[in-house]
Amino acid sequence: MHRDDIERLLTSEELIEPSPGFAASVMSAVRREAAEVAPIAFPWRRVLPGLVLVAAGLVTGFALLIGAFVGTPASEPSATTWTAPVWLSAGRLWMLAGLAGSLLVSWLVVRLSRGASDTVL
Amino acid sequence: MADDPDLLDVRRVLAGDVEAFEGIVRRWQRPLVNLAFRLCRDQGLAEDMAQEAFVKAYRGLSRWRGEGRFSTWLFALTLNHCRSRLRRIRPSMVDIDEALDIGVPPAGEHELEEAQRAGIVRRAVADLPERYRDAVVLFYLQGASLEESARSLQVPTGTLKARLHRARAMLRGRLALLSPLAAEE
Repeated sequence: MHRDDIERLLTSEELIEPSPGFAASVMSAVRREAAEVAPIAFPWRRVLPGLVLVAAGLVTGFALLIGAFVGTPASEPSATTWTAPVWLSAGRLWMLAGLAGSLLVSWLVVRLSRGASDTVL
Repeated sequence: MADDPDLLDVRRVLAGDVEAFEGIVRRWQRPLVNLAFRLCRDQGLAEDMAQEAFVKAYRGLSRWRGEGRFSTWLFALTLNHCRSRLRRIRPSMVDIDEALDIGVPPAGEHELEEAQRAGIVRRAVADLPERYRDAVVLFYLQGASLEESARSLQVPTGTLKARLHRARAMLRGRLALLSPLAAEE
């Protein structure tokens, strides 16, 4: 079979007609599509800073906890360095800082997410 | 371009008039169903795919920038949709018995042979690898120009020419195996 024959056969096909209700069926599908409410986008811009802060708080807290348990070798106090009172030892100070940080992060997350839900509603 | 009916309908749809899309459907239903049909040789499936392509077009209408022809964009979208649908339901939809089925019986012996050859060629086209099949369908069966077909396929014109050349060679080879009738001459 020559190139011309193939080309002639390929171009000689008659068009088929769509079924009578085809256009109506397409338009029904399009109307359904148009009637669908667009999904509400998750407020990532508002939530992301909170998530980052939570992650940072967790990492810091975890590091502090490990630090408090492992401890560091005590160095000799010198006359020029400030010595913390006994109740404010290095471990406890870090734990307090960690607790304060966690509370701050929790407060921020609650505040940000409340703001986001107010916007959505 | 300003009084292009497609452009006017697209603007109306984008402005919120869903019913304006019917103009697009009525204008393009025949070409789209035929394009899909030539890829699968099954009218029911072709209409399903064409309908889904129209819905996709409606959804993505804002992506057509009005720079090229609407038909080029619509054909490209339909072609991509049909490709992904057919990938899921292939490997091969060509049945040798069906390939020899020529539908309406032709009058004489010559017409019978001609119709038989045409049927074999069209079904062999539907069974070509995707990139060659799409090239042949758009250029020969859909009657688009070389440049327009290349734009719909998103390939350079030279690539399309090479694909058409290769497709013809593959068709000749396949037809020689399928039918001595089609391969003779």
